[in-house]
Amino acid sequence: MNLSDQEKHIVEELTCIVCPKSCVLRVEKDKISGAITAIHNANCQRGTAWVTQELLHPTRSVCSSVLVENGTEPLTGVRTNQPVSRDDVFKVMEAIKSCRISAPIAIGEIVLENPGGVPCRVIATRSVDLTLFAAD
Amino acid sequence: MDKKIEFAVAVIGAGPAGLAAAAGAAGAGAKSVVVIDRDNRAGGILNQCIHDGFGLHRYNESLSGPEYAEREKQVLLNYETAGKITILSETFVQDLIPESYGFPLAVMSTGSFRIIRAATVILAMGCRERTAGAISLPGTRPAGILTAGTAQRLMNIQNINVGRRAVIIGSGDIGLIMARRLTLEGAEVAAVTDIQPYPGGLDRNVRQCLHDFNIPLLLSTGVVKVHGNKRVEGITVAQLDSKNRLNLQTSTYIPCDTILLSVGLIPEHELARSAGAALDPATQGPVVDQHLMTTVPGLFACGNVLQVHDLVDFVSEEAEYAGACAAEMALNQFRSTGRVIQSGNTILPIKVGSNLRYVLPHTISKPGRVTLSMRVTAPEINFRVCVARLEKSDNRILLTKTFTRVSPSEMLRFAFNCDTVEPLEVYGESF
Repeated sequence: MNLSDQEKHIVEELTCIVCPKSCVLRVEKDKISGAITAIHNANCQRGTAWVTQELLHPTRSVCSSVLVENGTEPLTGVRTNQPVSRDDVFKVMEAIKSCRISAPIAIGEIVLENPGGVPCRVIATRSVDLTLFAAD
Repeated sequence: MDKKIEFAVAVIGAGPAGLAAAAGAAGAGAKSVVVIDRDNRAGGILNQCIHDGFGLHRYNESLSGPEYAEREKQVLLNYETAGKITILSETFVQDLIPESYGFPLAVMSTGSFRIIRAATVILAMGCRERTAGAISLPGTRPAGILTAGTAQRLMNIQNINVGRRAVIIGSGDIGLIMARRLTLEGAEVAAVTDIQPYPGGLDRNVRQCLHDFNIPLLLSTGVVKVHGNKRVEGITVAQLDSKNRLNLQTSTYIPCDTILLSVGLIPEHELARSAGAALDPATQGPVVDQHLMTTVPGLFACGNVLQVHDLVDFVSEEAEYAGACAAEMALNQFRSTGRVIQSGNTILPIKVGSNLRYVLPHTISKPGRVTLSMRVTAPEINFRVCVARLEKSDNRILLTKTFTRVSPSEMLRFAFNCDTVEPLEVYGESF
């Protein structure tokens, strides 16, 4: 690789999370367009697919908590039922933060549909019983 | 004094280890299992771990902590209904002293104190976090210094905000997860520091919790001083030189109102100690044989009180096995002889060889399938672990496992079919 090639490329190392083998993939990207020009050390197709998605269109599950009214606990845990685009994480968070639900809550209950316009569901991950004592 | 044995197996702790141990014991035929837990809700630390990533091995799904706990509790429910398992919540085991006939457990709950007697006992109490005092954190002690797990409980269960701008000391997984949690909640994480030259947590957590939010990770960095009187005002950190001394010329002041500590876990081994079980200085948990029995006959250990695990899936697997072993001992040996003794076979030690921090189990008492767990001392590439006869000879190596990459943040775990009755050594080496 000559000097001009090095200037055009950036190299990133990622640990593959597809299987427990944890291959360290070396990815070369075009400095200007960000396009992937080469993937080294990928021992299988799944690794190649994962690294391509992770670098070009990364997705994340969003996990947080939601305020619960009349519950034995003030919060329930929530998560998105599927990963969303990483760029949409804060949109989902804003919707989660402004949300309040009433006890009782069961695990898996749908808390929000398409939070902030992002196509996914937010589901409860911790059950909360109705409190026997009135608030205030 | 009434010396009736009420329970075949008593499990102390209802976290992931305790739940799986109870299920394992009942599944192996124990008809009376008691689970004693100090919290009001079973599940232990899983209840506050609202992030996902649990259960990938055990359930082939990425669950949050409370969901994983719920799955485990569902397994117990059938046994509870059948009267085989009893859960005592908000109950604390004060003392545990082995007697010639079973184990009396002194247990306290609201308004009552009593003695429970069990044939065998499984320790599943987990860990507690190392604190500012434990690492001799230099500087003042204002409000705003918390362990990462305490901050996690406050934020995720009690709805209490911990601060607006935080520095996290230690890059273990809990610290990384909390960096993301604080950021998502609108707080700022100024930096995560670690004295080691490599991160303490899993690579995926570094990527998803720090890189995603541009949180700086300062490696080979130590704390010079905590600033502030009533509330934390900032922290001075500096790089460590090759001899692990602070290079004060690199001192940097970072303003913050909160400091979270993610600097390691210590097994809650007080009951193991009071029962007279030998402890391993490397794990700070009890010494166990291949059936996860401690040096006190009839007393077993599993989960994080035995060794700090990286994945809860392995905790459950280990605990189920401990439960089955405890039940087996209660049903056979105890029932026929009224006591539990160490197995009649010679107990062979496993020597911890080069590049490994610890190896479990510590001893092997009879040939058979053994699950070995261990951690390495430093990150390595192209590494192999060898199980060998201690005695030097040409054919001493019995099993070799190779790994592309190993790191102290990951537990290595594999099965070994032990058909020898000679002392063993387990060691690691790069190739």
